[in-house]
Amino acid sequence: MADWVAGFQSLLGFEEILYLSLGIAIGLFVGVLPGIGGTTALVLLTPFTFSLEPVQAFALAAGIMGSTSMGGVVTAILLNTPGQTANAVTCLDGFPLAQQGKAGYAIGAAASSNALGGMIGIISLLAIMPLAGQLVMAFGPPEFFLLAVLGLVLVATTARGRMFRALITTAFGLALATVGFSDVTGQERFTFGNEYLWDGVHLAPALIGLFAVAEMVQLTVKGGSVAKAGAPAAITGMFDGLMASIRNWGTLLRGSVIGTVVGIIPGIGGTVASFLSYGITVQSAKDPETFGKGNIKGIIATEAAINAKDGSMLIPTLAFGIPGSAEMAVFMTILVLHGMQPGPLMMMQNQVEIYGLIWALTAACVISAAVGIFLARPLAKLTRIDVQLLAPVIIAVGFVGSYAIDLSIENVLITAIFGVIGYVMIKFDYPRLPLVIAIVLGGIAERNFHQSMMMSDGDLSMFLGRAVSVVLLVSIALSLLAPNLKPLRRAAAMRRAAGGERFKRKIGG
Amino acid sequence: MEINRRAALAGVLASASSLGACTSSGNADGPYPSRDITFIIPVGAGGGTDIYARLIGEGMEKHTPHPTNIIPMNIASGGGGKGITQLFRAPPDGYTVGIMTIPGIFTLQKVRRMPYDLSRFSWLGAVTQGENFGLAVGARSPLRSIGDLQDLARKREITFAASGPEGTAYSATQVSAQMLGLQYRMITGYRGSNDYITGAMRGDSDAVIAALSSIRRLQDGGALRVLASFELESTFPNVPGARELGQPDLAMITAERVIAGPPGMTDELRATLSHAIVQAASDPNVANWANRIGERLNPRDGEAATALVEEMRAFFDRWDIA
Amino acid sequence: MKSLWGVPFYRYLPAAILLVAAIVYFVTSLGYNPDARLFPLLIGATLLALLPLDLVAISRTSIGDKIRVWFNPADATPDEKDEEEERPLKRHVQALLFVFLLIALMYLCGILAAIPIYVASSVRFLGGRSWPIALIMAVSVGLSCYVLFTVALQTDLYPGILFN
Repeated sequence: MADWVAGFQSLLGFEEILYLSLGIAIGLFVGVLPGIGGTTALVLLTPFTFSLEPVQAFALAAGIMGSTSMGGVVTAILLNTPGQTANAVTCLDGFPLAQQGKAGYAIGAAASSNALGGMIGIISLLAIMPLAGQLVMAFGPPEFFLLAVLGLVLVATTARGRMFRALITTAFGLALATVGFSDVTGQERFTFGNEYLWDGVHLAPALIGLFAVAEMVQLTVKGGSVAKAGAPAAITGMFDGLMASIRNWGTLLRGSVIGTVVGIIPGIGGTVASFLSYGITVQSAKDPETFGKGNIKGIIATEAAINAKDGSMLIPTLAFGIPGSAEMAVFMTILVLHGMQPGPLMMMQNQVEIYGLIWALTAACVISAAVGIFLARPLAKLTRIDVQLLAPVIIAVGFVGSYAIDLSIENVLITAIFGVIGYVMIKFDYPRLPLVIAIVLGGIAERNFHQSMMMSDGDLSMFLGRAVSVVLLVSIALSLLAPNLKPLRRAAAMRRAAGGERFKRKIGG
Repeated sequence: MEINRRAALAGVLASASSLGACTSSGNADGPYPSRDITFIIPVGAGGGTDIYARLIGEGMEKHTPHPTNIIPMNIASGGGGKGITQLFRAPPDGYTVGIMTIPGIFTLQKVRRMPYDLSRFSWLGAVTQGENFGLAVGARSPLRSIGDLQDLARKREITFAASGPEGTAYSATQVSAQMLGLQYRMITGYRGSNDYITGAMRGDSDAVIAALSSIRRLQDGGALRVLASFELESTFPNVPGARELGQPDLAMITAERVIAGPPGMTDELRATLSHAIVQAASDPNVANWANRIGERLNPRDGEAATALVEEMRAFFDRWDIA
Repeated sequence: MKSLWGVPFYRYLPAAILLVAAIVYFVTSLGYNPDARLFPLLIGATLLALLPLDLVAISRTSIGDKIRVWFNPADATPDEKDEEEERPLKRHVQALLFVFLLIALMYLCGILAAIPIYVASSVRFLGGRSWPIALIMAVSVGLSCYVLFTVALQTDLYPGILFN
């Protein structure tokens, strides 16, 4: 208990608070910019952290890590342009709400889910920490493979009314994921001699193209402004939005738990947490067809998961030195540069620093949510700006960000190409989100499948011999059946009702 | 190791004042070095080699004829192949250097057919002594000694968790397994040493072959059990070393980090950079870090580095690494 | 506008192009070693199965309608799409061309030069707004990028082939 308190106290210095605030400001700013995310910010600031005390470096890093999501949410809702990959899911229900003039409501809900989800995540983290070791040990390559498959199935089935097209886009994304050197066999695939493609299609530039550029081009062609004519002019409903998370506490809790669990498993990452939560929420909802059109639960589920995972992602990073995401990998550098080697020993010896870090993250989460609320009103005015002025700015910034990720000018070409692809997908009604998710999951799925086969020497039945794998297989089966069951039940109900009508008429004469 | 603020500030001031002494951008006619030197690191940010390279780079900055900035640049694409290729193609003017892990790059070139030629790089020096490897199993494994493992290997293939071909573990595992006469099968594709060691801990594979510092750290933490050390004389109690196992050549399996420049550098440039590298070893930050991590310093200049690379290449060429 | 099976010709294009790409993808995978080609072949096969179905589904034939309904279990009726007026094709192409203008400028003149030029042209020519506004926006965006990247983050933005 003393360490817990000591961790908090370590943050109370003037400099520590300064760095935390700086981190939050940077995180919010970076979160808003499409493509440049927490990872890039941390990488650019790593040299700066050399000269800081460990606690200060942590405060800065935690500030950034905890607040990028809130920044990303704002652009996702207002402009259908995710600031971070994980926020791509927030767009699904966030943007329709903005179009209906309910941007304030959406942002309010996002802010409170951010803060509450993050806090629940931290609490679950502290509760689960003793079990964390067993959890990490229970998930090996077979489980990662099945988890990726589950994710892909969820993505395909939650594109309401467009499942067929979603399947096509998913397959397209999976195909893109196979470009580059195969992790396992070392074979160079589909690069056609191009060195830039050795690591495959770079995700962040593609994402910027698919969402930021394509949306802005769409707006340019359409004209007008983001908020449709006739939508109410004032930003109202923010308080309602804040309360919405509490009213929908079931969704909030479920999202947080999913985020926490996914975060603990290294190698899965934030994007997966966000749409696993979204997908499960949609599937278990009584009115699934309202999702994608402005159902506030969509935002709550997604944001809670994204923020809950921020805390739990620390576990594999700190306890095993296995970063769950690129952001965590960079964070690990900062750790090691300050003389801390992640591992079981660190968990025992550096408890005060770890608690300090956790407190800093919590603070960042809550403070950024509050700041987000303040900024919502002025930022929402963006939806009223003439798109002919707004679009070129966003496009320009998007391209610069794309370059800045790793200083490769080829990124810019990728962004442009995916901008066109994204625009075509919008116009011809092919959902884009499955594409992104498939690129992320495709690599995970393939690598872990081959590793599983190496483990069992080619024996496919190995999945049935592992408890967690079986659970995942069952989940996959359920997810495939669920969307089909509801319409069948509804059709049966309609038939019964129609039969009843006919019967009544017969009796009636 | 704590890089304290005063040292960093001093470093910044020194660099800033050097701007007055030599122009730091674009004046290619000035005395060498007259602008920033790029240090290519063919791995992602974070992780052993990256930190190593950054620290050495910092140390080198103070020992060039004119103080200059050494800018680390992570180019991890293609398992590092892209960064190494970029180094290979850079002009040999002394403004681009890079760090490479042997034997990782040998295997990388063979397996992935990279467009560079390892025999032509200008080897400039090394700072630490390459680490020995060892064989370990997860703490939950029923295997208690190397004898147990060898018995098991007679009945079926042993599985080893390892990285992809760009990692040292890949070749180290295959060579040592062959030397020990074990029937084996690889489980590859793990991303980094933490990943594959965790795989062994988890039971994905029967055993793992990794650098001794990692093994030691995890054995202390109760997660691994070391069964064999490939040092000539084992420093682990009750665990055989290479000589005892009858395979002294196991001690030749090491991960060496060598700094190199593009092919065709002049002797003068090579000597200058070589000097900077060797002197970097005496930097207090480097010594501090090496102490912490358990690495031994053994500064070697360009000639020694070239000999080292040749020796290692000859050694690894003898083995069948798929 | 030429029609095919009740639907304008261009509606088939994306699926058709993707189908061609899928064929190339599938055939290329055959040349890789067994482990490396497993997933690509599966994915390629899936695309080769789904895309022809999609092409049929686009058409307004009875088979097409059946496929559309069968594969989209969530709702039997298609979404009510906003009735936006269809913009002329020229407009779409122009908007996309400006994006390529931007990257061409970036490649040639470098990012810091490309941004103001692009913003000004887009606001003025694509957006039809006045020169003063175009220039104000160009300068402010360009300056912000400079301050943010070159000054604050010490990150050099691509200088372009011409000035390298």
